Amino acid sequence: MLERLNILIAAGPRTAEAWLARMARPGAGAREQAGLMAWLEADPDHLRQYEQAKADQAALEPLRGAFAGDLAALRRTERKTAVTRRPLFAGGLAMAAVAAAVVLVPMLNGAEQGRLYEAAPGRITDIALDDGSRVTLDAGSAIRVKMADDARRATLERGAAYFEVAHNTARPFQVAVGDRRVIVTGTRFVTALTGDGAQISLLQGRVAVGTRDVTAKAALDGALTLSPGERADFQPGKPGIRKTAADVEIATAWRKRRLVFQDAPLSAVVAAVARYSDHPLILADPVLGRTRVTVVLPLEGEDALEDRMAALLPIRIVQDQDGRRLIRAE
Amino acid sequence: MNRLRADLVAYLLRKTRGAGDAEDVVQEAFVRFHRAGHDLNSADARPLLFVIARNIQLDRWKSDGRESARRSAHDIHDLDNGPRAIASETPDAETGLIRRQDLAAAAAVICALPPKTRDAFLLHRFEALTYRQIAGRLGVSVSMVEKHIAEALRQLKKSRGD
Repeated sequence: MLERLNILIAAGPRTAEAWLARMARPGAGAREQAGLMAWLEADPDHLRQYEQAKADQAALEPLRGAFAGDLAALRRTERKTAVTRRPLFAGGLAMAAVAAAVVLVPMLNGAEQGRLYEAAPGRITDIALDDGSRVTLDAGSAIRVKMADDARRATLERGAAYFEVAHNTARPFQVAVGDRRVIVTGTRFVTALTGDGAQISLLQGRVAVGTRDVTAKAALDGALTLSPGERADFQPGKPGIRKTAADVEIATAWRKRRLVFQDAPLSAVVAAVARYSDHPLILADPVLGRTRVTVVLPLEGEDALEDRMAALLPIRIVQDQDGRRLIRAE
Repeated sequence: MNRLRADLVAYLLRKTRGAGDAEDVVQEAFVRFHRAGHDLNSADARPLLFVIARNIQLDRWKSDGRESARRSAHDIHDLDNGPRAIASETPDAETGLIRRQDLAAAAAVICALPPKTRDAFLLHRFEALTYRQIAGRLGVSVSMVEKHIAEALRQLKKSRGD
């Protein structure tokens, strides 16, 4: 009796379908659980209805293929509307809509710029390029790819990308990271733009890191050559490049759905975590960003990645009026 | 997990007003929970386990013939509605698996949904986006996304073959 009364007072969902939708909410917690339990207990048939609705949803799996076209169109439309609607919105709002969009949109932005591939926040995305090369984009990362007859060119726009380049000596593959060019013929390597620098870690093959385009004369003059297991560190726009031993485990950890940092500045951790977050993360104090930390963050879990980061590191996250998350020392 | 198990036992003991085979009931509840295709990491795990365990317990009482002494008046009234659902024994054998024509009907229902409802549902079901991501994408609130999903599920229910 009491349960029935509670349901009337709580005015929560009344049907199995409504409850199923409610429980999928990101913040569903103790309150929703208590509500669902009261509803389930209110009628002996409710459990059956709920399980039926859940089973029905699971049974739609074979339709995935049938809607693949719609989903692809949805991604394209979203991209287009986000762009065409931009003048209608205040700038900040339109930017927010674009940032929140989950897009993997091969899009021709004129031959000059090439195709833009983006991975949404929190979504690691695999891409097969036309030449047979494969790219894994870390969450929140983007690359631009332009295939020409003389060379294959990719630009790391932001975040991190892992490349498996299809071998073709006649058509070298080049990845621009900041003002540097990574020139390869066939190899596996990781590029990353972090908060305060850029890294290129080589797993297999051979790459040269220089500043000239691959088709330029003497493109490799003065370039730094990396062997497997080596890593190049530099600041985009500044001279100087440092070769160190690459920790391949760490450089590719995100592909295994975890982030690994060993004696890394907190700013690098925050920059990486921000790619998985729905909100901008801002270091309130630049000095704090230089704190060196060692941490392993699993990318998958019940709470937000930023909260897990805050639990593991001596920091706390405060939200300001604009929805930004400020990171302060604990 | 162990905490959940202990909570379940405590809950059952409270309900029985006496010791008994609570541990045994909890064990069976977990088995049925998993067999019905539920996920312990899901937000609905806790309420489902509690209700499943409670129902198993009530069924045991019933078969023991002790039920009339234990159950409250409104519980007895509920029994008139037929046997209690515990958890689908074999969800994919007959009832759970949508047959081919049902799938086609379900596809038609999804196609006929209002555009935003359809988009929200497709992104939820096939892209596994969170409500927050869907909300950002469609330019609506998280609560609106929940309404769209609930509406899609409601329409889909109508396409079920039973």
